[in-house]
Amino acid sequence: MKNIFLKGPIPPAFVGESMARHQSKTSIGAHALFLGQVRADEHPEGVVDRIDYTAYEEMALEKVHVIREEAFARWPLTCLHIHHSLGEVKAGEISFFVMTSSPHRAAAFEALRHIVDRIKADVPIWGREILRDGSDIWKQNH
Amino acid sequence: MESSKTETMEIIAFGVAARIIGAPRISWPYIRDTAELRAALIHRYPGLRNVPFILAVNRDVSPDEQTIPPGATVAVLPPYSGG
Repeated sequence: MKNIFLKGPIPPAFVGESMARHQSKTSIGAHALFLGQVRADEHPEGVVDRIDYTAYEEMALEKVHVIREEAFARWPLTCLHIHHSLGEVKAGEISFFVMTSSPHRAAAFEALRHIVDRIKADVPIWGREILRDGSDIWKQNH
Repeated sequence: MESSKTETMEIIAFGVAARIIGAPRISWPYIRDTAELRAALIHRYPGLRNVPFILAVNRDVSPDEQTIPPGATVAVLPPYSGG
């Protein structure tokens, strides 16, 4: 099973390198990318400085595997790349990266949205928001 | 002297549930289904009452309560917040 996790933020160069690796795959006409960035949310308790991500890794990878298989069965995707951070990611840095590639844009766009939503809903990952004063609260997805 | 060996199961906890329980991994006397285990966990760790957690049995989550096979790993999963 493919690993999706990397330690710390996803560097901008990592995204560029992912794109560059597809230059030889000339049946692709469209890449769609989602980049999730840590937001400095203002809670009543304080402002978010960074998020510390943890996951139930074995289960998460199984879930992502199923999501991948379903996406390939449903849309004519050439490639699908999914990456998520573990550990601390500062506000403004990237913690989540999904890229769908397809001959045409419609499938790439549709699949991308579906996959991002499924991962947020069904994959056991947790974000602990660390505030500027060092206290923390558990992130909630909406 | 050898004591009679009672069956135990392994419980792993994540996110806020791990904090409430005080450890990411605990050993627990064997309980045969998730409904009973849920009640026992809330009894032992009252803070869990405020967390809408689900229990995964060997990484399987089900909307219904599940039987727990002997030797299973049960995970306490608070609401996910990836992304």
